[in-house]
This record gives sequence, structure tokens and C-alpha cells, in this order.
Amino acid sequence: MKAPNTKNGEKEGKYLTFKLGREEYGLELVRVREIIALMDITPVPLAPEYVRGVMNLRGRVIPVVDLRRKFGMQPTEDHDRKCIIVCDVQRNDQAIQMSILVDAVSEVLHISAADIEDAPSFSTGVETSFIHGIAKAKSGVKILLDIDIVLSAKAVSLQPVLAPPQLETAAAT
Amino acid sequence: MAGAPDLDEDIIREFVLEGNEQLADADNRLLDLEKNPNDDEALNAVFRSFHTIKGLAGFLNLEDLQTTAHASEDLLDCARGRKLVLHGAAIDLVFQASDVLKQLIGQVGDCLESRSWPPSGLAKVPTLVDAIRTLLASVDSEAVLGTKVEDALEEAPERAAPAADGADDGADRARSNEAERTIRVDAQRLDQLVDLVGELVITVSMVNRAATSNDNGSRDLRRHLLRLDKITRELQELAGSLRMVPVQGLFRKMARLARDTAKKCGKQVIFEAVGEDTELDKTVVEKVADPLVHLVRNAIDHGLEADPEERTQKGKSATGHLSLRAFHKSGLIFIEVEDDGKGLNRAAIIDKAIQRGLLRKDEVPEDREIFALICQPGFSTAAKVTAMSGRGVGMDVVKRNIVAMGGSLDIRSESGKGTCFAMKLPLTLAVIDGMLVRAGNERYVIPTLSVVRLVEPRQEDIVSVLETHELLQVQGQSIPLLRLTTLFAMEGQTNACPLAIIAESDGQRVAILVDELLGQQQAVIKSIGHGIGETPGISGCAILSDGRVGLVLDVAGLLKLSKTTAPAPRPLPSTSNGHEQPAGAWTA
Repeated sequence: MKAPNTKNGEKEGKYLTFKLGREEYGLELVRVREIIALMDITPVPLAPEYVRGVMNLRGRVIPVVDLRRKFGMQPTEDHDRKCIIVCDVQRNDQAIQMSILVDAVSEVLHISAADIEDAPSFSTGVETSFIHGIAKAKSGVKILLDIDIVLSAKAVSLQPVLAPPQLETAAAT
Repeated sequence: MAGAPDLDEDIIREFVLEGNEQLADADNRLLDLEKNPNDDEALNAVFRSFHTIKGLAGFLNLEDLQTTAHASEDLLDCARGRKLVLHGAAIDLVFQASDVLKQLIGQVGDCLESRSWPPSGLAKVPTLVDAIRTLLASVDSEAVLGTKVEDALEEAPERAAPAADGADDGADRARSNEAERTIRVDAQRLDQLVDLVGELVITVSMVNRAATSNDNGSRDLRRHLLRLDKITRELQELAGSLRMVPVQGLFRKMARLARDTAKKCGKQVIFEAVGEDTELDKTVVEKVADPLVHLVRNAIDHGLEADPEERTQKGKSATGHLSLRAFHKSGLIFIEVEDDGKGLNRAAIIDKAIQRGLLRKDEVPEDREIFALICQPGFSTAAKVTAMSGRGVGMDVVKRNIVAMGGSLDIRSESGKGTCFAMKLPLTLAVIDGMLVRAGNERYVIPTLSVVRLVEPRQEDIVSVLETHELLQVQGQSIPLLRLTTLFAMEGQTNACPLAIIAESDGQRVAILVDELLGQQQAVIKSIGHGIGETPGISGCAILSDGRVGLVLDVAGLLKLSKTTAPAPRPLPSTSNGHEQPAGAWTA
């Protein structure tokens, strides 16, 4: 049960941070089930393009969402540092497991409420509800994601692709 | 009713389970009692069930439940004391009480889900309780013996003195012993267990392969691995059997249903159940209940003759028979509903079919095909629409439900002798027999049940239509052809001489062009997950023997796709933007 999200108090906590290109993102650690290396993924025909496919995790079939594609970023070749993060997601009031494919996993950080700012607003027409907040950490700025919205069926890409400088100014205001 | 109880949810949940079980048991015993009012054992069992419910309801402060159970208990006690015989109106009241209790317990269950306490109760409780009290009063005064309890007393003049209390104790002990031998387990945990064991089997086979391919695997290691392999397989078999339940519970519900339906239609019916201990997967039992209810009602309402004389004239007993059978045969389960009534009206079905354009006048189809027509939507030959059946809906739903489970429905009927509806179902919905095929770089499982035959098509057998669709000529028939690699926009080399799998769904055929047949495989079907959304042409997935996920093709879905897509001229897309186009974009 979540109280109305006015202050950033309840956003404080541990986050798993990961990379997509040059950008750093954060995901609430309590949602993370496990992190696994890139494994064999079966593509699902006629599924949305950001669905990389399904994988077998110890007998369970779990969809893999390519976060780059979901965000409308340029796809890259697969490499060793790429990881799959399996997370618990609420979908239509059901708790399910889904996973995201990211460029690299960085670290686990404790982010205090004082360091979290609300989601920025970009130009009109750009939906930012999937951004939980912007956090300033020693290692740089992290974009905290609301994974439920990120992995919902609707499109969440920031078009055009957001570039870090833009983000910093937005976060500073 | 009392305010919100500070009771544990678990206790209430336990009560709902226990209550329903007791009532199912009571219903079953009541049916015995109705056949033989002198069955003391059955009477005591029914009494015990109501007594248990009364006690539990009292503990939970559920007044409606308590009063209903209490009144029925009084009535049953009266029967135990030889003051009345459960028969006619009296036993009907007990049946009604059982139904009311079922509804009340259902309410309790709903309250538990919605977390609103207490349950609202039912308006008919006082009416029912009054009816029981009136009946009891009439017994007590014995003044009105002739009216309500009629000849009840005379009918059973001498019965062995009930050793009620002693018998109760013994039976209770027997019951509690039985309870200790079984435990309730959350179905989800069982599913997890089955999943994990399946995974274990795959891992063991991988370890085996690694150990035997390497020369450094010692002999001891191999021996141990062999043993591990054997144990794992046994474990898998056992885990699979945990989800199997006997059809008994379902059949007993049908017995009750048959009784009620027969009463409503004013018909005499003897119900018979064979093969009650046949086991099948719990999910199948759940899904087969609805079709079965429909078939049983139909059989009694329409199948059996309304007039007993009509039966005796044909040399049959005046009382109708309805039998329900369950048995295993060649890895499948058969459930049959057979009546010895009029049989289907062949001529009427043909007339109706011609009228609706389903048959041509000059066609002479086989009996089987004619009878299958009654499963067409909106097809009913019932002259009279009753409250329960004959609305022309129903048989199509029955058929659809059965087909959705991967089963089939066969109808046999002989005029004047009766009708038999035979359902052929998979033992479990979790495991299917499939054919593993390759198309491009991907492997797919096609359920063997829907495969008709395999052919190696020659180029001249494939006919292009409007340059967008293709047809395959097989034995003079033209079947729509689907190229899996094109349809699913896959990469990988395509075999020069591919294989066509002729598959069937709901009487329609489609030829699926694949590159190679890799073999047969038993597959544990899993849902592809909510995360992906619609996946046309794919019904689920299965974990293949190498641990990779393979997709299971949905023949009905492919048929639908074959009608909307234009497979032939579409060029194979490039790597990056392969399959992201919505299906609608290809519509011909």
C-alpha cells in the first residue's frame, strides 16, 4: 500500500544501478529477484519489438524486455557485460516476474531522500511517469525508474532519446 | 449477526473447505438415503455432517448457518429416533437445507476475499427453518400424521434399534484416522514442485552428457549418475501424480444434479456412475465440470422420454437410466454420459441443417457427422424450450470447452435406444504430446492431437492465389498453406524441400510449412506470461530437453492468421526490424 507520493521520503532506500549506454539508471532493490548473465532467449514472433523473447529460469518462463528498445534507444550488439535483471512487477493487480536486459549492472547504492528529486518535465507530450525520481550520487546522476510503469504495455520511450546534459539541467531546476 | 470476529483468516478458510467437504459428503449420503430410507449408516453420516457444520458455525458466530444446520439436525434426529422416515417432502427439505448451507458457506468465502465481515446472509433461511419446524411439529403432535408425513411411520415399522452413539464414535475415529493420512497442500506449491522437478530432470541429463562426453569421467561417477538419473525420473513421475485427483467428487455432484433435474422434469431416473476412482489432473476436473453439467441436464431433460409408457412400449424399463462413465484408454481419459432415452432425431437434425445451409439436400453424411452438427452455434431441435435446456445455446459451448482443453466430443445415438456423449480428454492439461519441428533457426512444438498428417509437398502442388495466399493440393483437397518462416519473419536458412504439417482445428485444415521434423516430445505447457501481451498463433511454451524455451503453436490461431495475412510475397525482413510490425499491417 502506497501513500500519495508527495514527498520523497518513501523513495529513500537501496537501489540497484545499471547502465544503458552512458546513462545510469536505478531500480528499487526490493524489486530485484536476481541478476543473471545473458542467456539463451527464445524470440517470440509477432510480439512487440522491445520483447527480446522468453527465457527459462529454473523451470519458469520469464519474458525478457530489452530496455534499450523499450526506451527507443539505438540497439547495440550483445556483449559479455550485458545482464538480465529479473524483477517482481505488479501488472493488472497481479504480481508477476519479468526481466530487463541492460548494458551492465553497476552497484547497489543507498540513496537518501535528500538526494532524490522529482521526475523532470521535458517538452510537452513527453511522458515521464515512469521516472520515479532523479538521484544525485557520488558516482553521478541516476535516473530512478518505476519498474511497474516501465514494464507496462504502454509505450514509455522518451522521444527523442534524452541526452545526459539535458537531464542535468532538468534535474537542477 | 455478531460483529467482526478477531478470528484468524486461516480458521475461516479452513471452515469453508471443511464445510464444503461435509456438504458434498452429506449430499452423497442423502442420495443413498433417498433410495433406501432405512440406511442407518447413511442417516448417521448425514447427521454428523450437519452437526459438524453447526458446531463450526457456532464457533464463528455465523447465525444463519447455525440455525439452518440446527433445524436440519433436529429433523435428522427425529428420523434417527424413528419418529419419521426421510422420504418425499422431508428429504427434499434436507436437500434444500444442504443447498442453503452451500450458498451461505459460499458467502463466507466471498467475505473472506473481499474482507467484509459478516456475510449478508440469505432471506430464505427463515422460510426453510419454518418449513422444517412445521414438519417437526406435525410429527410431534402426531395428529396430522396422515397429511404430511403420510404413511411414513407405517412404511418403516421395524428397523433395527439404532446403535447411534456407539456407531458415531467408531465412525468418527475412522474418519479422523483417515484425515491423518492426507494433508492439504496449496496447489501453487505443488505446481512449483512439479516445475522444479522438471528442471531437475533436464539438469541431470545435462550433467550426464557432460560426464560421459568427457573421458575423465570416472566409472564411479557414471554409476552414481545413472542412479541419480533413475531417482530423478521416479521423482518426476511421483510429482506428476500429486496433482491427480479421482473424478469421484465431480461424479457425486452430477448425481445430485441428476436427482434435482429429474425432479424438476417430473421424470424417474436411475443414475449410475462407473469408474469413480479414475484419476485425472485437477485442472481437467475443474474444466470438465461445466460441459458435464450441461450434458447431464440435457440427457434428462431431452434425452429421456417424458412418458414412462412410451418407454415400456419400446421394451424398456419405465424408469430412465443415466450413466456416467470414466476410464483410461491409450493415455487419454474418456468420460461418457449415456442415457437410454429416445435418441437424437436424425431427420430433424438433417432438416434443420439443410434449412440453415449447413448441409446440401443431396448430401448423405455419416451418422457421426450428422450428430456433430448439434454442436453448431445456435443449433437446437428442441421443440420446447425449458428453463434449463433447449435454448439452442449450450452444445456449441460444451464442444468449445472440450476442444479448448485439447479434447474431442463424439456423439453416438440410436433412435429409440439412447444417446451417448463421449468426451475424450488429455490426462492433464500440463503435459501434451507434441511434434518438435524446426523452422528457420527456431524450434516449435505442434500438439500431436491437432496433426492430421505430414506430407512432403512438390513445387507443383503449391498454388498461389492473388499472389498473396497459397494453397496446397493434398489428395485433391486445397488447403491454405502457411510458411512459418515467413509468417513469423524469421532468419535462418530455409530448407529447399520443406515439410508440410497438415493440422486441423475445429474441422478446418491448414498446412504449416516447416523445415524439418526433429522428433516427438512430451512437453509441459507453460503460459508465456502476461508480460508480452497477445501472441497470435502461439498458445504457450515448453521447456525443451536442452533447457531452452520452445514455443507451442496454436493451430486455431494460425488458421485465423492464415485468413488475414499475406504470406507469399512478403520479403524476409532484415535483422533489426524483424517482427515488430503489428499483425494488422500485413492484412491482405
